[in-house]
Amino acid sequence: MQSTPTIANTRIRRWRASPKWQMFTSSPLAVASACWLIFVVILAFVVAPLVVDQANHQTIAMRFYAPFRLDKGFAFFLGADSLGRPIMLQLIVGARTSVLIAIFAVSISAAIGYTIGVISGYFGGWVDNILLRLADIIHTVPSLLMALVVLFILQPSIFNLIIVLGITRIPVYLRTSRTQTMEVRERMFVEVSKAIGASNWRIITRDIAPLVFPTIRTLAMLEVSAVILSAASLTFLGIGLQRPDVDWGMMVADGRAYLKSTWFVAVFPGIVIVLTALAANILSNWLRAVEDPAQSTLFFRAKKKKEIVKA
Amino acid sequence: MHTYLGRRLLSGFITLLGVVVVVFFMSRLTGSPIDLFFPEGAEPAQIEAFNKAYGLDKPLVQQFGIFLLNVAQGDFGTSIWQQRPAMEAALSEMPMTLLLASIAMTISVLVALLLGSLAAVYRFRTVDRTITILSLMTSSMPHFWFALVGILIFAVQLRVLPTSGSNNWLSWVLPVATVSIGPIGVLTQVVRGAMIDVLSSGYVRNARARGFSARRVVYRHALRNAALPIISVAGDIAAGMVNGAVIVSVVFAFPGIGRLIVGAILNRDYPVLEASVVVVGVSIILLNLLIDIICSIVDPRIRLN
Amino acid sequence: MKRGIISSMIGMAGLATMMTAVPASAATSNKAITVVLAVELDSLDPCDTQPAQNANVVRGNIFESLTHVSPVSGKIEPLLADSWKQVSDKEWEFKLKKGVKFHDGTDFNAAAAAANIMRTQGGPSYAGLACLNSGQIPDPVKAEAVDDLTLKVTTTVVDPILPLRLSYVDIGDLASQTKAAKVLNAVGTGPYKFVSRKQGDSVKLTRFDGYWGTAPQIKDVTYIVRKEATVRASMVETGEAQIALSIQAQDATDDGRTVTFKDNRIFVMRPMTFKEPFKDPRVRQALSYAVDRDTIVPAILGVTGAPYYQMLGPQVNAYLPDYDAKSAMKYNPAKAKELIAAAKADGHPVETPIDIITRPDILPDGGELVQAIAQNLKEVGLKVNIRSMENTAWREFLRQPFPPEQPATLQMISHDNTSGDASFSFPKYITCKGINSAICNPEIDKLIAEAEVAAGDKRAELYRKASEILYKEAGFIGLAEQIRLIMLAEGVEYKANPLSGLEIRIADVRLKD
Repeated sequence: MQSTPTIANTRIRRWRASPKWQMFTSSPLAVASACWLIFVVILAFVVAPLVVDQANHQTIAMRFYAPFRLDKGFAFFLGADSLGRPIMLQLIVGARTSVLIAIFAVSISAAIGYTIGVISGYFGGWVDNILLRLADIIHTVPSLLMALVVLFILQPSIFNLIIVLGITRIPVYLRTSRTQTMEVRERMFVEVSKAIGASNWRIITRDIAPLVFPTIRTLAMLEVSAVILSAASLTFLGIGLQRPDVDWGMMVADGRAYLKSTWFVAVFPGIVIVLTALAANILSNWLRAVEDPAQSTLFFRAKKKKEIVKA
Repeated sequence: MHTYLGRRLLSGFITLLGVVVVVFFMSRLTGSPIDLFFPEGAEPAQIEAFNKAYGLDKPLVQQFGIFLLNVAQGDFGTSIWQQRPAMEAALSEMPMTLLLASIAMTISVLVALLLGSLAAVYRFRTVDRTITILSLMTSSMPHFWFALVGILIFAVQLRVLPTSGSNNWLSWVLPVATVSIGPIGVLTQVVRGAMIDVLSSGYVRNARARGFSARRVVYRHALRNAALPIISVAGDIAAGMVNGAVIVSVVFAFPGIGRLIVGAILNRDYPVLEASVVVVGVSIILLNLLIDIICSIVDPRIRLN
Repeated sequence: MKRGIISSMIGMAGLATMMTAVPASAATSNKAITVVLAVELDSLDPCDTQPAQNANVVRGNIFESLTHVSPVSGKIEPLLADSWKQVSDKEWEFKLKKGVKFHDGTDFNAAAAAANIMRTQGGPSYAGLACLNSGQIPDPVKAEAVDDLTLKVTTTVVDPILPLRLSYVDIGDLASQTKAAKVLNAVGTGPYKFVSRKQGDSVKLTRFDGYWGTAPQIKDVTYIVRKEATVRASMVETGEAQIALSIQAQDATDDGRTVTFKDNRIFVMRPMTFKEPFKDPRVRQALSYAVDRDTIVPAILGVTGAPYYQMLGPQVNAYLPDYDAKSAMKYNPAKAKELIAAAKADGHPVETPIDIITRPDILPDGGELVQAIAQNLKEVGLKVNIRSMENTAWREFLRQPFPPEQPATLQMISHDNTSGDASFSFPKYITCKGINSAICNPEIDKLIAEAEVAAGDKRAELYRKASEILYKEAGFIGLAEQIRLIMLAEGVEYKANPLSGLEIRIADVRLKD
């Protein structure tokens, strides 16, 4: 009575029983973070396109409508901003901007940094030197300043913001993958591949790259949080985006002038930024805990009391 | 050691050169300063004279050549906006930023050492979990938001601190706090991790077995060995503090190189922009060098290669 | 013996000078105040005092000019010049005030005045100087000292408002005027002298004891800069500053510490009449009918603005007193759509996208106002994009030439005119050759050319005729009259006047004891 669905079920059952999943479900923090991120992504890609028009619609009569009331509808539950736009919907549309920027910027910098890093680490020599030099150049100028100058020249748009953030963060991935490649390169099984006569390309793709990949993946997770914060800082300073494009940093900047009287215009988007960055941070902690359980507090209960060094 | 230093300085110099080239061409792309310094309807003759005086009438490549020649002699030109030598403007603002970054760095490291050690020693208990969550939260907080909330609570509502400026020591509290809050979060985690590694290692157990008090173990042995990763992460963070300093200078009107660079960009002041970037670049390169040297002193196992 | 007599004579002479320099009712004190500005001063040179960031600090404090617009009557009054007369069509004679000294002790005389007037205009002997005040004297004048206290000014065209123009020329000491470099140590004749300037930080002034007029009460002034409007308002509340400029509506208090003034500053928009869809005047008129000023201006600007329909303020001679009531194109979206449809029917591509060019700091709460205007325009079917950019880029769009590849622009401008005369606005903004002009109408040009050489009522009438044509053609569309706010700390008295946008005379500020 073996049918294919049962094999799939077995697979699922096996995964469910794996330590990774156990660790995940036994930790409420990791679950909460993942849920929040999934929630944000759903809002960003599913809900946002539906509410864009209403989110950007100004109604002067609703200016600074106070939050936590339902009489004007669900959209206004978090209040309205200085032009009467519903804050909740603005947060949702802002989520789309922030998520897009985070995903694409991280992908671009990770992909480019990873590729170049592996190649650079493997081949060494003058290629390595030049690429390292370039990475150093990008790395030396503080990213915010570089972004300021570049975005100053270019027109404000989501695309340009992604490009700038993508490029300024390449060095981190490049360095990490390069260092790891250089270490892996010296290992026995690579020597064996070379002895067999495998081409460089094969060695890189089959032997080296897969070993470096997990590190990059963890790094990327951490970087998501950093990119969200950087994008928010740039839009807060007033560069990178122009209305009707909106993101959370811009919302905080808009509400800045009204901090004393209608604080919620700036505070709500700020809270959302912190929550999202925090969730990404917690999940990246979890990924690291998977690799090195001793390091993590959050995902283990305090079982082994004997080992604690009392002061 | 000397050859290492020499090599590092040389590579640092090449990097710096690259940075300068990039900034030169990028800043020229932002447009000409003419519109800012001329009234509407200015005579073409005046504009020509201005261009001549600042060398803006020559083709870009030639401007670059002249620029390189001058820089080799240490001359970054005169600030169009501030009417004084560009390097002087940059050097006059850098000390404040360095001071802010140093104070913030010191506080971050001390607080992180304290909290991280506590978390490591009381691993898995409530103290540890609280500290870890707090440090994760603070490293997820954007500088500007912390600054604004800080102003709202401490300056506006409670009236304990001034809203801006740098006159007395009170006005340093919020800016320093803003710049340190992220690093405290990150460093606490690093300290905790390094301390856990060390505390559970063989020779620490050995020391405990020999009867040394926990405190002595922690301070004398564990910290010293945990220092390495802490220092190298701290080095990365120090460079990133310049970013925090930019936000701080905008929100708190705090003096520093960040404010100068933003002003130079807005005023199309090429000389000041180039000089400032060079100053920042040199500081960061020297800082990285210093970190490497400290690391090698602390742990001679690291070869300076 | 001799020494004793001489020294006592010197002593008496000194006493006499002190007595004439500091008149009887000197209620001076040793008090110091701090003024917080929105934009930092960028030049201490007397020939750069036109932009507000410089004028706010130096005009009326460090520097004075030969003539002065009265804040009360709006008419031109003597200041450093006692009197003047027009000797012939193009020749004027000014009699200067006696006994005025510069801060460095040198005498103010006709030679100094002439040097300032010539240097402000630039020219071959001052190559590369780029004085910001030079735009106030569009046609060159020649100034010469006849004797110590008599100045002769010769104009190249007939210019009935020359004394008004000279009110924009600030007078610095003679030595500084011989140099072609910008002045870094400001020396003027005003009640305060320059002490120090720390770039990006502060400017300090202190009372000048040799001032020719009434000594001011306050001794020291420090100017600092805070870009945040809320921060400026908070500083006054906490006592960190005594005066704060450029306050937003939401920070205004109603306890008498917030003073308002109008400086004939109007927020307007300028359509690019040379490009579609603005080639047809009906589409431009639709712009005015589309904006619901009565709703958005009070809501967003609050006490800092009022709906407005013309380009120039009520004190300027080109103002049309009955335009608002009779012919203003007030909010009527149906009419706007009708006009656009009519233009479309005649073949004009009214769906061409329009770029709204603005700046984040164009006026307090300006960002939101522009967004609300953009929505109004979208509601009548126009396609608009907001482009907010910083000052330099914004100026590039303001000025000619307008490259053909540039899309049609709607430029947002905040224009002030405290002189009372449209000569400081119209030639630049609405003539065919005007550097900031996006309209070319030969009738307007002719009227303005005639007005420039006319005087008094005839001049005003010609300007008004030009205004009528301008508004009918919808070349400039008025949006809001700006009301400016200044916040004072407890115990500070200052009466704001229409000139306060340009000059904050510390001599007019009093501290209650």
